[in-house]
Amino acid sequence: MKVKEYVPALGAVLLAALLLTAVSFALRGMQEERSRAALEQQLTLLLPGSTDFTHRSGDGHLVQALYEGQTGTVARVRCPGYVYDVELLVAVGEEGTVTGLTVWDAHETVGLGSDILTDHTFLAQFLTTDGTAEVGEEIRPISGATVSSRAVSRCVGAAVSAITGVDVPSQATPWGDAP
Amino acid sequence: MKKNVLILPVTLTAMLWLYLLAEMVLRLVLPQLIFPRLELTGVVLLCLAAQVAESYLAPHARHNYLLLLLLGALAFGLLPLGAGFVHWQQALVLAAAGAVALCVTTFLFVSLRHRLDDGQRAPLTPLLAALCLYLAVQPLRGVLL
Repeated sequence: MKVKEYVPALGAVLLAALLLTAVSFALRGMQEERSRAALEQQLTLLLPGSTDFTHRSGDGHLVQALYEGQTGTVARVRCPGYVYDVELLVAVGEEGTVTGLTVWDAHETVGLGSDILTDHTFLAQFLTTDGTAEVGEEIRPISGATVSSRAVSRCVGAAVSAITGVDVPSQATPWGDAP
Repeated sequence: MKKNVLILPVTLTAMLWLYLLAEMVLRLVLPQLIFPRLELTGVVLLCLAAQVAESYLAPHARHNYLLLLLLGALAFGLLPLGAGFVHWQQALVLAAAGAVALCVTTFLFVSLRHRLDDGQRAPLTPLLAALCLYLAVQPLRGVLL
């Protein structure tokens, strides 16, 4: 085949990329607005009694952002999981304890680590803790998903530390020191 | 017959385009949902879908692997980048992995399809071959991408 005969296929790829770019630009504003609304809805659920949230930047390490409400603060934290990062929203009340948490983004192994999204019994163990609870001691990990469980624990510790200013020892996520 | 060599890259582009467009719309409608990342198993699934489509559109299509490598890299690199789902560094990795995945799955798919085809009219052979390959690639989830 001559090079000239490849042009239709090359043109199809370029046209498809161009169309997607155009659609992406057209939808970007609406998408950001809806994402912000979804985040605000989550923040209101995590901190009942708070209606207005002040956005502050994170610590540049694990804590991505802080949202201060009238009844506490929510931290958006990102920690390394089994393969990809795990992102959590952790609410800390005026007393410096966790009042609510939810997994905002995770791509853990289906059937194992992905249970951090749905295992409410596991997530509920972090409520009322001050960020020092350790997996294998106070926190019972998800069976077969110790790394993912530790990622959640590390996120909670980092959130409490960033909000209260108390230095909470963070557990290492790597696999070697699993209990 | 000459143009049949272009059917696979074009069907792949169409599959990838539809997948990315659907994800863009779903992200808009359901912003709180967590969408799966486009990783190796997803890339292979798209390649296999394109090959199944090609099998029905042009059962005797030929393949130019150099062309597949080039157009596969362009499709997997440019389309997710255009959709705004990846940065350019990730697009480069995706382009390289996608191009290799397309060539390898094409070779395996064609071989398997011909093995499974018993000479009788067997309309489900491409689907069966794609299913076998998709199941075989599952242990690679989370690897490379």
